[in-house]
Amino acid sequence: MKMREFMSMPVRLQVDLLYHEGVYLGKRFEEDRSVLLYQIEGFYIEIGYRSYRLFIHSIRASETIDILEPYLDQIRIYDPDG
Amino acid sequence: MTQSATPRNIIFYADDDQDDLELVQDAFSRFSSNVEVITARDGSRALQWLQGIGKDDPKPCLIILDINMPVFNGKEVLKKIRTIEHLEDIPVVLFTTSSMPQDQHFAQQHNAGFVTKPLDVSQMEKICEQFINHCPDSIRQEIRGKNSRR
Repeated sequence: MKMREFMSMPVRLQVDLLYHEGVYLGKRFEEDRSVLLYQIEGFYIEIGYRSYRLFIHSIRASETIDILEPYLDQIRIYDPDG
Repeated sequence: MTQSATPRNIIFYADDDQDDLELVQDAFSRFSSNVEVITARDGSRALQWLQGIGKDDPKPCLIILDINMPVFNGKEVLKKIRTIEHLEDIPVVLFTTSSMPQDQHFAQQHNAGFVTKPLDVSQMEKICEQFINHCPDSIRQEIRGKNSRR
């Protein structure tokens, strides 16, 4: 899955794909909106909400790690060796 | 910790995210005539409340635990619950942003459900049903039956 393919999908499919395959990375607030960050394969997706986890305001994707900066204190690193 | 005096079917939900607490409370509001959602803001408070339930006290029909919580995480709370004799049979669901296979495997190992937090309203409606599906049969019918008569 390339970022371009993801962004060309209908929102309904984007949301279903994120739900089943996205890795949650963090949450932040922008003005009055909650924004959640997910990762799928090699790119990142931010979902902005007008009503938290119910009604989506915007979906933004990025392949650069700059998007991680506001979430760095929340990101959980999984160590398979324990 | 929030709790009302009205005896109803209790669903206990622990999560450190206030938005998620409100989301689940709102989702169950349509069942408010016979479901009470009691909440805790971290794993320690959750355990404190659960360990305070006496053998003859009303028990929750369902326990919902976020995984990433301060003090004790949801997996630690689940493990403790499974060691408390009069609580060990209560259905538990890990409700989390995680879709990590190792977390799903942990839930299976400890006889718990695993539900990923929703991303939009259509998923939230299904998730509420998934929660109710984890309740024992009689309570599930009671919740749905009373709600459908309203």
